[in-house]
Amino acid sequence: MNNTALAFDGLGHAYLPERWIFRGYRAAVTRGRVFALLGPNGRGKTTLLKILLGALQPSEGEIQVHGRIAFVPQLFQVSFDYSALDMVLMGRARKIGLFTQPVPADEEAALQALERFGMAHAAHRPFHEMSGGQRQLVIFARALVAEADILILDEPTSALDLKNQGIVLEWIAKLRDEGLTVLFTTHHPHHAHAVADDALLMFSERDYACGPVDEVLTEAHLLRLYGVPLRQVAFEYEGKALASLVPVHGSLRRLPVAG
Amino acid sequence: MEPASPGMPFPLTRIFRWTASFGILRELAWFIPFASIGLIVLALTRPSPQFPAPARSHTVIDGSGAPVRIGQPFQGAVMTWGPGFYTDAFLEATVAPEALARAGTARERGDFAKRIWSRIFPQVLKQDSLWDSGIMTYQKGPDAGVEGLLALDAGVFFGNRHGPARLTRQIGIPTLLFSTQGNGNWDDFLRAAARMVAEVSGHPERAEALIEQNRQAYRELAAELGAVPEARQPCVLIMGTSSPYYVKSFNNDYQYYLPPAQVRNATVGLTGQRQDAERILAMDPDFIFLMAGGGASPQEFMANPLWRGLKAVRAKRVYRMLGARGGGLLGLTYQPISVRWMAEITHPDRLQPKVRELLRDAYVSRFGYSMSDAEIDADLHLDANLGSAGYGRFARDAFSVHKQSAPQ
Amino acid sequence: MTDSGLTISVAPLVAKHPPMPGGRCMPYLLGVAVLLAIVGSLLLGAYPMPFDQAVTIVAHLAWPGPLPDDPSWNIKELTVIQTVRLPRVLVATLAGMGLGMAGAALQGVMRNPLVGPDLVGVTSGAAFGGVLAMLFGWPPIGVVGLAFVGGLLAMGLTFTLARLARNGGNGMALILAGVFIGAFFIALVGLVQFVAPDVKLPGMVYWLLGSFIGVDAQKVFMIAIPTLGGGAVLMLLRWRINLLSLGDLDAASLGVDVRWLRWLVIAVVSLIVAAQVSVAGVIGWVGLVVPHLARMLVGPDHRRLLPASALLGGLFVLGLDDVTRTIVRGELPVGVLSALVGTPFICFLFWKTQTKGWSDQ
Repeated sequence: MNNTALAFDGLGHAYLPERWIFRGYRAAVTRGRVFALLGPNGRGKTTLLKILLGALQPSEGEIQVHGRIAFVPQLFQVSFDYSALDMVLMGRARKIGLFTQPVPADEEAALQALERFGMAHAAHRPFHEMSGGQRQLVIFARALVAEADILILDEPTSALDLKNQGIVLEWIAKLRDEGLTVLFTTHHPHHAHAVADDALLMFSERDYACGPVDEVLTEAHLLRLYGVPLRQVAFEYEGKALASLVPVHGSLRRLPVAG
Repeated sequence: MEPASPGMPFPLTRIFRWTASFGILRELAWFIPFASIGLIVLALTRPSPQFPAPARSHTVIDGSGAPVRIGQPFQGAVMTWGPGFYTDAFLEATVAPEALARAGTARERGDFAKRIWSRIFPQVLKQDSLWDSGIMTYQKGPDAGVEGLLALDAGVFFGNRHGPARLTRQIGIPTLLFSTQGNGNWDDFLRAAARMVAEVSGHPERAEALIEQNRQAYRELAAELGAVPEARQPCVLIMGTSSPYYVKSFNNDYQYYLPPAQVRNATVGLTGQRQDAERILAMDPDFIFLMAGGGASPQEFMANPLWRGLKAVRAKRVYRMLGARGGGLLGLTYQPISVRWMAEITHPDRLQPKVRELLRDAYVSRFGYSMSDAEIDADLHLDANLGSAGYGRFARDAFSVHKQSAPQ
Repeated sequence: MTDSGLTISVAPLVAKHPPMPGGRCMPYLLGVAVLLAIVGSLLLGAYPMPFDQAVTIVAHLAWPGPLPDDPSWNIKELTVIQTVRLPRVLVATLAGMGLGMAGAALQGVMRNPLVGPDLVGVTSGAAFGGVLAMLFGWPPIGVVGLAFVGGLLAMGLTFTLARLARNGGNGMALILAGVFIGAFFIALVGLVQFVAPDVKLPGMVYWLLGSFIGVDAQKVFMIAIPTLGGGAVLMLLRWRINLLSLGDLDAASLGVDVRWLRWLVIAVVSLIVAAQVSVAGVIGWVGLVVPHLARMLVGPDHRRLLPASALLGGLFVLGLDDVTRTIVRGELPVGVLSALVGTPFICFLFWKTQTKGWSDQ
């Protein structure tokens, strides 16, 4: 059985003739792993996502998708104040016929998905009254209810506060452990460093690096990608040896030199 | 899905479960009202109720050519959908105001009050039950107030194919339609209407007498006027007085006026109903007739600097049309007199002043109504028109004072 | 999927009794109210008839089967109820239902609670067709037919114009195209009114103001089939309309073909609106106000909103027509009444609820 959830080869897109966003990209996302897409603003991450979702036809290249995709968008705008349960129920769209309405089984599934993320108590609260983190979890539940194999997230942490960022990252890891394939874009390299197994760095139109995080998320690559040096920092916390990436801005606090 | 009650027989629980699994029960909230309304709509396929035919009846052919059985004895006429003229036509042809069960709407009553019939038959004007007290007119919709009309006890409805008469005909109430008056001959329409009405009342000879008198009046006018060569026929414009100016152009219902009066229509070639001042100045007609019923008077019109350049204004040949509103659509008796009036103004050298005499005679001989001098003055708009050229001939002492002014 | 191990006992409880706005019974209540209103309206009118007589007639009409040979009523009374009132009551209800549904569906599809059914210019096109037929002097059936054609023509032009935009299915392109086409047809209506002879003009003006005077069985069928048929289609799609109020990318990711669905809903809405305008003239504000009212009653979920909006619209317009038939003896056109009632109402709504039922994010 194919171990690849998603693969693309020679992928390129240009919105205007001869103005290529990227060209000749090639990567494979392995089933059951977390894949991070990194690049500064405007590099084309969202374009690549749209292509993967099938909402945009690429100018060249081919894609293979093995499995169903669920999408968690970055910005969430709803014009009406649906309840959280209504939002999650929308995820069942593929399972509900064009002219049929959701059955109790669908609502059960929606409720269970909400419970999964600890949001069952808020099932009937209006979606737009929730905090950013809660909304993100509700949309996670919606993605889950669609019974997808592949979860694609567009900058899942950008709009969240510190605590919720952590919660979302933990969920990404949990879902991966349960067998889901996760792909997300981010411009926080330390997030990718924390949870991702593989990464694709989009340097420029033809230049990219793809591979396991240990190989690809090096300080040299990241300097090239962001123009900002990053340092991997190791520290100990509650008996565990942990590591993270820290950007070295000119404005970092200086400690007095010892001795 | 649990059965609704444990005591339900087995097949029903299975059906229940089957329907629930299709979610049909969820659709009932909208389906039941939709289906019910659909069923109610189907109730309209029932045959329409039909009035029984009257036991004794005579048949009258109406304006649309359909034979209609009018019950005897005659029970009362209802006038529907008409610009009020139908009541006039009815009274003129039958001289039977007691035969009216409904004369018109409240607005039509106001117009009726301005016409001669309200003076000849004042009881019609005064009787409240003859007039609809609402503010409806036919223009608001064909069946406005149809429930009130149906409540009337009447033997025949008069109307037009666009109005409630359509409904009454559909259910079998005797309904006579006046012929559709397009841009055809208004005189023919009046004659047909008179015939139909008189037949209903059982005295068709009255209509024939009126029609013969009407024709005779035109013949006499033609004889007296002689044949005026077209080149010498003056150019006449009938217009409104507020911008954009309403002009009775050649393809509408004023064409019956102008040929017997032997004048040319100044608006030949124009197609619009309303023209701007420039076109009117370009037309430069010999005579201008202002619409009756409102707007500027001839004096005001002639004083308006806008019209100063017109030769009709310079020669003071601006007059207000006869009639209370609309002008000119006046019935079998009045119509030829009104045409003669216009002819006397436009061909003063060819015609003796006879309008006052004709008016007085016509109404005395046919309806036993003698118009006073003041009434005739008002009908002829004497105070408005006296300042215009040659109008002295229409004054009371015209025989001694009649003036001549040669046309250009 | 494995479950997280949290207690699942909460779920069935919450699922069974979710706090639905308006309660579970509201749509059924509205349905019953509409049917009662129809029967009640048949008993009202200008014709002097004893109340029990009217009830007897209605009862006999409702029962399938021929009418008794020797009835207690006279033929005029039967005529009034069967030929004068019944069609009018039905058209009023259907017009209200159609406008309510159309407004709610369109607001959902365009993700904008401020649009009304005249969005795609259908109303203006149908108005043009109607006055044009009046200009030619066509009989009422011709007016209805040409108005219908005009409405569909306007819809077709709007769609075509919207497709010319770069991202054809985008909501904004459709709104703009609708505004242009609508304005164009309104100009044409003005042109027709200008060239119309004075005797025809008042009829046109009154028709444009919207009224149910003079409807017959034919007109009832002409409005019933699109409204009930098209309405059924909208009802079946009502949950999908929830999905359309998400962003295009979002809905696409859920497997919803946004463009096609949007066109379908708008086409059905146009059909319903064209039928309504062609039969009864332009009745504004109902399609805008009623969905808001319904949203206040049952919440924004279109599964409940669409039926509630339809039924509420039927009640609303039927009520207005009853008022104009009985209390206001001057037969005020329904379109005028709906504006007179609707505009202050929606102002009141905005002030009172602070845009409850939709969020402006």
